[in-house]
Amino acid sequence: MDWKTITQIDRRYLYIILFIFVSIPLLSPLNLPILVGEHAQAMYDTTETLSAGDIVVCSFDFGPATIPENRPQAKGFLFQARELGLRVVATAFWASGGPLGEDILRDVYGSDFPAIPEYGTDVVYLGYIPGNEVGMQTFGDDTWTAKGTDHYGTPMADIPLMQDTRAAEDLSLWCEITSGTPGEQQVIQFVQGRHGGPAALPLVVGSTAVSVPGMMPFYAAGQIVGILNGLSGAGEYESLLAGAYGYPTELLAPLDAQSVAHVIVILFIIAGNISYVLTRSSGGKEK
Amino acid sequence: MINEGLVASFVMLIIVVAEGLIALFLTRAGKASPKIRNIPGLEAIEEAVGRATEMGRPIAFTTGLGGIRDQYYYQTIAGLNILGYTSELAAKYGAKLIYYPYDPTIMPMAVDVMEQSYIRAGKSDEFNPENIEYLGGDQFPWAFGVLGRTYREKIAASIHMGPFWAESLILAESGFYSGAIQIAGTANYHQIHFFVVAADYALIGEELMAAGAYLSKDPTQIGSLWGADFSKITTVALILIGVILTAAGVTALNDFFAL
Amino acid sequence: MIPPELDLFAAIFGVFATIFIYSFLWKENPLSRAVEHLFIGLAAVFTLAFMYDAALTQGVWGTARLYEGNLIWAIPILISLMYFFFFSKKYFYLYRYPVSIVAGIMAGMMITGMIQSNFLVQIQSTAQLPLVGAGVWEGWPPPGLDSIIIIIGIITALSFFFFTWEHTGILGVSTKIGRYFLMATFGAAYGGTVMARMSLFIGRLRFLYETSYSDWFWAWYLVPIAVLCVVGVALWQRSKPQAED
Repeated sequence: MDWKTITQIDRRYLYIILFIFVSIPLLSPLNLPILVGEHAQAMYDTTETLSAGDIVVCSFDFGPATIPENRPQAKGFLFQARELGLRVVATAFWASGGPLGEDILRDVYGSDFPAIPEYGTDVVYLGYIPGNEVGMQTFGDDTWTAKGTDHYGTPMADIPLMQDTRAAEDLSLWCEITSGTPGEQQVIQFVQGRHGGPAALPLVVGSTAVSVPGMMPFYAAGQIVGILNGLSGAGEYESLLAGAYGYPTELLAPLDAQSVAHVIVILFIIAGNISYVLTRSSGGKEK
Repeated sequence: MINEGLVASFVMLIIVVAEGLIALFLTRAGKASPKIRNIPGLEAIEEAVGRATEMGRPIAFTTGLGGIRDQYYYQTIAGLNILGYTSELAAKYGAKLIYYPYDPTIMPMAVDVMEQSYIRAGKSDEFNPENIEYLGGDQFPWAFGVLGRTYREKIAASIHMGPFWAESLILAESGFYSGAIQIAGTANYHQIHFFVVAADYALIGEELMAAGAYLSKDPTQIGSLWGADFSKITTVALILIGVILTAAGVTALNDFFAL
Repeated sequence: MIPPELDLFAAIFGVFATIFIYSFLWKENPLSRAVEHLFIGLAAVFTLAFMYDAALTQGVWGTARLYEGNLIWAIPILISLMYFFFFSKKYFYLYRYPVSIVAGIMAGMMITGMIQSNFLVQIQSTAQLPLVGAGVWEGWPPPGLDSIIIIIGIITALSFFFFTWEHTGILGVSTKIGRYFLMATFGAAYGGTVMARMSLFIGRLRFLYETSYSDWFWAWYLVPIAVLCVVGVALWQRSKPQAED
């Protein structure tokens, strides 16, 4: 193999290699062990500290493009909240999050959702709240002003859970499932920062992996107390829930595929760099 | 009067605004004339427009997913500033510039900015509003639309300035593979690495916001940039003082922050 | 099973759309172009429908809004209608008023939000990093070393963004170190992005491999058909006389 020409390889061969190697573990899982990281453990532990009856927000701020990452995160959190007897106010500040959130709630609370006995007392779905940051800030300041009814048109005054949820002060935890803006930064700036800081309203985040490095300063400062980092974070969280509550795991094969994909990408990067160094050292010029 | 826990924020706000205003007034009054350091990405825009003109192929311009309805509007406005400059150059040289807005709310601003730049270049009759092509207000359809057009229109220069998210690599890759000269900048630090890797010139973070002052040499804008530098010095000073005081076991600064 | 957000026809359509869009990686072709146009059109309609609904619900029909006699809501509605002056040649400049009002509101909100969360709290947490005390310089890596790296990283990276001073002397050294910190951050973010992109790719493959309906339909049955469509169109294109550029 000529190392010097490897960077000139047709990229379509790389796509094919990746496609084949990612498919193998999906069709025949390798059952690699899942090691739970600090951030997922923190998310799980923070939620565990809450008591039955505490009100938590679960906000679906993502679109169809990131369903593979965000959906299992949201599903896991709602499952844990239900097991702990937490009262969940679910909502979305992304238009596309509205219908997606409803599907996830159906997955966790049963396909009859919202026609379930606990709807209105233990769980409520407000649907899409428009206004981006402004909508979020209004929700934190005065929930009823942000949206007059739930997703199904029932006025706030007729929903027992919303009687107890008038502002951010009534919340014990905010779970932000996000893949962009508005997302965790907006919760920190426009809700948490205005209502007593992290001590009064802890924030946990399920995020697409792209944004996680940017969240680290907020995690270090305690503004975020738990993070699910993309698909791998969801898998770690899932394994914690499986151990504690018998949560049905579904991410073992995808995580295997992801590990394999990462190994391949690392090999590509190493090969590319070797070729680059050799080309440079022999006086060649990169195309 | 001020909410508990927000007193220190209020004091800091006053300090930062005061620094900005003093710097701005000093510059406007001609009592100070700060120089802006070189920003190579902005210097390269003229080269990119020139190259597109020579090749007879269009220039693509985007301002990311920015609108004016979100908190990243300042990046969008910085992007529109650069759009004005680029489209004036394009008008001068006779190159075709296509702008792909994402958010419908910036359509009128873009038309306004581009039309004004054609007027400045003395070619108002050559301005064609159809060179502003709205591609839907959803992230990936928009990105896919720009991607397809970059290939089909055989774009010679691709300029992306504004707030970008996950679509940044799609755009940068499409420009890279179609052989366009690429200049890109964003203050979204979780996306800038794509531009650093795939673009020929990248504007990192606040360099994007400095562009307006850099290109226009307007004393007001230069003054506000100078003021922003002072607020950065304040930040560094507060961090150093805080670190020293914390190491010495003095909690005065922390107590102030908690006010 | 069919993913809960889809039904059978949506799943069938999804398979074809996935393959047609992925065919772009091979070469831009009429099928990928068709899906691209469809995608843009759907997004535009989706945005329009949601915005229309949200605007009317929030401003006009909602609880305690204009329809219920809360006249204050007439003000934002009237301001927003000024956008439409953009279509008037004579009064087009009036569109600038709603633009400036919205930009002003966002500036105010952002500054107040950021000064607390992104400025003060970040300075505070950096200042509180442990440098002395029990256990700070024990173990490997010691927590004190982390603190020093973070402090140096913040200060030098910040110095990179000084625009009105020449980057020479001490400032030059600082900006150079700051640039390395920035590059390391970009590298970490790049790694995160690779992970995210792989997750999305895996999600799509799972959709193709796992989607089924009533034991008689499996999504991957359609994959070869979709691929054949792409190949067929590619061959048809190749047989066509090429137009001059």
